[in-house]
Amino acid sequence: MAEKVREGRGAEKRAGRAVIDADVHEMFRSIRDLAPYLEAPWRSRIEVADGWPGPPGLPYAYPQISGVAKADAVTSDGSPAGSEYELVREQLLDEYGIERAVLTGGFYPTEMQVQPEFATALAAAYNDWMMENWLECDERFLGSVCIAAQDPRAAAREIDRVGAHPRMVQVVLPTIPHDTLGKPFYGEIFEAAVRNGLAVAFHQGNASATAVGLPTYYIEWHTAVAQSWQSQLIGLIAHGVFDRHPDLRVLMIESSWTWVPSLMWRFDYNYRSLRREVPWVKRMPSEYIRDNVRFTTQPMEYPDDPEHLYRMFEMIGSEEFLLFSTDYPHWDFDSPSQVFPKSFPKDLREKILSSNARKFYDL
Amino acid sequence: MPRTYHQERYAVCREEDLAPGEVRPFTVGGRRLAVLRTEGGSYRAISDTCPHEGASISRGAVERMWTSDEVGKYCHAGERVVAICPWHNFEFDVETGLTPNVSPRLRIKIYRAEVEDGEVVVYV
Repeated sequence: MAEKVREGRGAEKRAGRAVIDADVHEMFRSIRDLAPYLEAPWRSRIEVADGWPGPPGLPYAYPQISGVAKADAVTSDGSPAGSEYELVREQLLDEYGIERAVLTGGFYPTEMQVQPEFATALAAAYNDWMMENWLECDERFLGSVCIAAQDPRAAAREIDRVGAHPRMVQVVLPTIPHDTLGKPFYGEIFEAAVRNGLAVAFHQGNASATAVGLPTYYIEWHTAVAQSWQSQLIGLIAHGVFDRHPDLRVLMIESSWTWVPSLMWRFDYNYRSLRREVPWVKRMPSEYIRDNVRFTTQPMEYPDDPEHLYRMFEMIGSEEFLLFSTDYPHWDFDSPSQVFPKSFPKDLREKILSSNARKFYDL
Repeated sequence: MPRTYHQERYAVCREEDLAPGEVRPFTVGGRRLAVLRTEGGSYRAISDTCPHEGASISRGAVERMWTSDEVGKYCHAGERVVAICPWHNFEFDVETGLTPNVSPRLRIKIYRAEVEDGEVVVYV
């Protein structure tokens, strides 16, 4: 029976269709996995009994049956879903014939309220741990550079240190709630990304919040948290990041994407009125979004009429705009076989499943 | 033979009637115009009806266009001047009728304006 189910899901593999997954979360078993990759004085801060326990998660008691994990991705020994390479290979890479999987982590020192030097050391340790334990395991994995953006100069040094790895494709930043990362203060990060041929990706972290902070229920947070990407995207444009770096590639991961048309309309309209406030912004905001920014598919929306979803896509005005993603091993995983409504033409599905990512990451 | 259009000459005011940076409405030949004097002392005439929602441009402002090559720094874009609509603050370059950096979907009509014998004259 299980065999049959697997065959049904592996449609891409059987059909010879390439799939590139732009959002896969590799996890460590515990923060202590990073200890061997830390130098003094930081190693002892997590090695000692009752030392630093790791960053706090979202404060919600998850109502999902397996917490944030996809229930069938739960490990046998109780370590976090996504922490066993063999299971990732079996359930994702082999199951769906994934050609490339971009590892996006889940450990973002940028959002951690620890000593900035400790955050910088944690980012470097995470990169070394990830390269050794994941990139070296399987050539299908591509990596994201982990940084601590609160010290932009040190973050740029870290990007220079590991960005030359042939399978590092981007720098990943969490959608922090207390600042916009497009500010010139963070400029060295974008300079380093461009210098190393890397994209910059934004993903929600455990500090990401809505316009009212952390609302009462998880369903409220999960529905409204797209606001955190919207604020970061608006900030990148308003602070002239794309004017300083016309070749910068930005990816919004797990933000959902159907809000993009209305944001472009509103931002363009405001630009006509308020350009005088930000005269360093030289083009219509929607032009930067179409030319420089891409979004991932997951979490896909499910309107009652699938045609409505395709119309939303058409309103954005670029077939290169979306990159397929599963969000493995999380509970709201999207399957490459099932995620597209029939309203999406076949050739467009192929672009979203692989060729858009291949072009974006220059694979 | 290309068709030529005859333009009527209208003297709307004395040149000293408009202060630098001032914009005033005039109705000539059945059209509502906003006639303005730039800070540099030249005169321009544009439609007084904003192509966006029809507000009277002459109730807005005239200023030198702002530009910048660095976040937080402001400088003037040479001698370029914009009329700013009183509603929504859309900017219109008084030389081209276009909004800066924006595709030309909204363009305000511009008219020839001259100073002749001390009078501000527009051709409509």
